[in-house]
Amino acid sequence: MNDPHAHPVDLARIHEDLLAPVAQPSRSYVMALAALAAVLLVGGVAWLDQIVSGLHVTGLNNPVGWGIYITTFVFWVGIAHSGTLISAVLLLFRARFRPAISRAAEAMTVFAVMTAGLFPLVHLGRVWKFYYLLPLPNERMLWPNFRSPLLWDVFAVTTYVTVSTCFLYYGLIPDLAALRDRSKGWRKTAYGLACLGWEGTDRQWRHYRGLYILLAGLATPLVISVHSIVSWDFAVSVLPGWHTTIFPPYFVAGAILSGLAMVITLGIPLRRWLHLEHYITIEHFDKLSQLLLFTSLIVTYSYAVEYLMAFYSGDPIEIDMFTFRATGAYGAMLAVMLLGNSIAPATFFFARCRRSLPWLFTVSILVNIGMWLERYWLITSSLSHDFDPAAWGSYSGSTTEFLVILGSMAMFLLMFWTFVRVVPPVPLSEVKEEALLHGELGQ
Amino acid sequence: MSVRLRAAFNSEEALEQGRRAVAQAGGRIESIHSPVPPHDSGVSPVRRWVLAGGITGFASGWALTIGTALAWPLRVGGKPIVSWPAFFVIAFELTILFAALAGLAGFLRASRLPGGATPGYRPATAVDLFDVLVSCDAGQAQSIRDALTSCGGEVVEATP
Repeated sequence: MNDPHAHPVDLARIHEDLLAPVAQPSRSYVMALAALAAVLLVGGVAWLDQIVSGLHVTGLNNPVGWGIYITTFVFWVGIAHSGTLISAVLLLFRARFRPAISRAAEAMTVFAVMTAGLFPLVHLGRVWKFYYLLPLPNERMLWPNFRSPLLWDVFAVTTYVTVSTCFLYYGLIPDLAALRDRSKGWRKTAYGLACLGWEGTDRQWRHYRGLYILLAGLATPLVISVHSIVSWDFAVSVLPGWHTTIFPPYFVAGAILSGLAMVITLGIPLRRWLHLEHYITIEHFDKLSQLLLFTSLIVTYSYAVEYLMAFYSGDPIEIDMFTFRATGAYGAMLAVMLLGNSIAPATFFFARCRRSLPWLFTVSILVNIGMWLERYWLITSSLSHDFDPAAWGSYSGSTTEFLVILGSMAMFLLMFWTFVRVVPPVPLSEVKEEALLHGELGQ
Repeated sequence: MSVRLRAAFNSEEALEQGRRAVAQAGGRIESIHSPVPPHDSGVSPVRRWVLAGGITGFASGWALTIGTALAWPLRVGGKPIVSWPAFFVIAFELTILFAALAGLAGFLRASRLPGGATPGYRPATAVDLFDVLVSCDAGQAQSIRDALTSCGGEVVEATP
């Protein structure tokens, strides 16, 4: 076609580049997925053993009835949050670096919430009784207590997983149609069904855009509510160290910090293994690390305020709790937490650190470790050291609990790395639109 | 007698010029297929679905919590039977849930999805082609064809 108005941006090249990862994976990639599946199986067997043997195979006891399982639940819910931050909040702010990483972040959100949702069930012991949590009319004279934060959690996490899944799928529809158009056989049928017959007409785009921004607007307060509600699981109780009003913003900031770290942890290998260097650039990681630094500062401020509030209160029990958390085994955890969540991210004040991928990856792992430890530190310390010294106890996780956690991590990674080979890991139409607007890609 | 013409452009700018030329020549644009959303796509009625879903969810949350608490009043922890601050959390979550699901339903209905393939759909419109379907009177066909061609469009066929 001889067109004097041809745009300098090469949309066909963007199209080919971004659909290229959706291909038969290499043998080593398949082997890595198989290894993850094996670890998941080990975790599954450990859980099965717990179901058959009972919760005594865990380290849970009286007084520490919430241990690693609840820690890991809070951790995974937190990881999910920055996916929504990147996909929804940055969409509302029209951040230009968003499209390159939004798909991976949204997928991370959905898989992290799915993994998180398993943990209350694992912790339940008799998992087949989970439906007691739901408001289902029954003849057992049972009804959920809507005044309980644990039930708020059920509604919040269920809503979050549903809305996040809708948001992810909705964003995928145009890309699934593109995959349908270039596939053959059963894949064409599968992608055709999944894209619902999308053709990219002006009518479809009009409604698509209209709802996309509204979904982002709905997801934004949702993400803040979900981790606030998770924090109320603790703050609404009266235990020293838990009963504090700072928890909701403290938890939301911590969640976004851990989620951003996980986006970096996954984004660096994603960029390299799927050859997306042209689309996920150092600039994108620079922006992400600035966001990470910002949330790290909020979290660090929260740590300081939490201690200040405890000591300023003059309450001897509160002061004792925070002294307990800063000494002994918990003191060592506090040191690792501060290293991971406050000190290491502070290096991102320097542009050189923000633009070094090995350093970014290292810091992201440190933040992941630090945030998991923070939840463990918060949860188990208050339970093991409450008002009455006669009721004090201790807790350490059992092999079963660690195997279940290992299995959950393998499950999350297995879902994520399978997903990015089945659909484009970077949203096609959004990158094309961005390129047409600013003429920066595909030239 | 009405005639339909299909023209393909390989840039957004050319498409925009083509649209204006068609309007000036008296043709009517039936549909556009494009790899990215058109600029002036207008306001979608889906927002009303979202609003209706949100209101329904909010009302359902209060109805579920207050209704069942009053139907079986159990006092727990000394809190009131109707503990509205606690119940607000459920109402809020259901507002978001229902609004999102209603929005999806509205999108599917307004976009006529799920749907079958349109005759003449070209997969290249998912890649880099901007395809426009124009209807006009038979007498105007040549002038519209010329207008589209002058804007860089390739008038590929007259579809039934």
